[in-house]
Amino acid sequence: MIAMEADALAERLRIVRVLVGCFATGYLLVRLPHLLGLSRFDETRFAPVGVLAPLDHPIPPALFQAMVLGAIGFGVAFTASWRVRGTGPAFAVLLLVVTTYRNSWGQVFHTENLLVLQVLVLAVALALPRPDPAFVIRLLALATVATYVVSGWAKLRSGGWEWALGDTLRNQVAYDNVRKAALGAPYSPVGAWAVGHGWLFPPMAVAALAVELGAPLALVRPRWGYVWVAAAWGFHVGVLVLMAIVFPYQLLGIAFAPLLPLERVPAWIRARRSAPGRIRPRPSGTPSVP
Amino acid sequence: MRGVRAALATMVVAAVVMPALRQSPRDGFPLSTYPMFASDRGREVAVATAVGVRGPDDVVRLDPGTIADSDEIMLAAATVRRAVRTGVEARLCAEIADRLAGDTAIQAVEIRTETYDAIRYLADETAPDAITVHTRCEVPGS
Repeated sequence: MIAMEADALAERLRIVRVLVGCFATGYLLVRLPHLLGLSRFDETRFAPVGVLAPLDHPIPPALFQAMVLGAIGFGVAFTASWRVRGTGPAFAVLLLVVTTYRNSWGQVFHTENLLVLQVLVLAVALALPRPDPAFVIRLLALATVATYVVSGWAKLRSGGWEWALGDTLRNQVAYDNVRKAALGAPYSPVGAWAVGHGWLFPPMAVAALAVELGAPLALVRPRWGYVWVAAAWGFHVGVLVLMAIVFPYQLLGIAFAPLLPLERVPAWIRARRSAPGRIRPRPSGTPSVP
Repeated sequence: MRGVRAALATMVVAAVVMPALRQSPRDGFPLSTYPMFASDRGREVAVATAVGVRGPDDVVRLDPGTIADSDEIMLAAATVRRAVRTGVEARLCAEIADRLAGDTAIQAVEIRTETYDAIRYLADETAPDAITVHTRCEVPGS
């Protein structure tokens, strides 16, 4: 039983690594024009954060572009499981620097934090001698849960339990949509409609706090984890619908992958394929049965 | 090995939680205080933006690509806000005007702060309650 569980968690970790690696590498590829375009920005806009905070000037364009391409290369290797103990940390460090640089122009986006944290955790944990899949999975889940708790704590610290009354959330949704309108960008028609109906916001605020502060419950029992994942995913759908803000890592479910029994998916797919009564395509030339 | 695992788990939680526990939390990356929806902005909000001027009382909204050379809305917002705060709005205005060079419909660019009652604006699609123009610059070739 224990051996079976260990095998299942090893399979889950393999799937999580591939999903996280695919997303991170794909994200860098999709955002490549934006990332390479950072070199054109005026130096007065440079406001370094995180590991780049000590910098006085932007990174030389050629060096940054080499780092972006290096991150993509190491990301492919990490995803393909090629020398993970070396390529993992290299990928994690380059991804950290590239995304930190992107966040160093006056705006911290908050949509990439968990991705980078999970890649760092994966890279470090898999570089250890004889990594324990159960521990690595647990560590990834811990990082996920901790970010939500901090987010909930920030709301209580700033507004106290009054945050649950919904006024702060309503004003935030209104502000975000007005700002988009003022900047000539599309805004959420649902959010614009919703702010006119104040009664909608207290339950939404309570639900948001419950998801964030209740995140540690996801670590207690697997089923509680599934419920929390569904709630957290719904929370991000709400953010998308009300403010047109996309958290792609969360919306695609990859942020929550360590909490889900993904190891069952390959077996489920195999069972579906071999299920009796499944209609298989006929070889060409085979006469149809009337 | 158990000690290494415990240390790693503690490090991960401490790293994520520490920024939020500081006396004066400061946002960063990837360790953040996640302040985005936390503080109450109130209904009255000020938005720094850039608009194209086609004629008297005729302005057109400029997209984030024109404002900040990026498709990121939040980055465009941050760019104008920061330019106004640090006093380099004339430089940003000139940059935007250069991007619009050859657009004969837009004569000038204005860097402004617009004040809204956000909830009322979204309900009625009215104009801003107040406008402060920080700087104005001509579009080359307009």
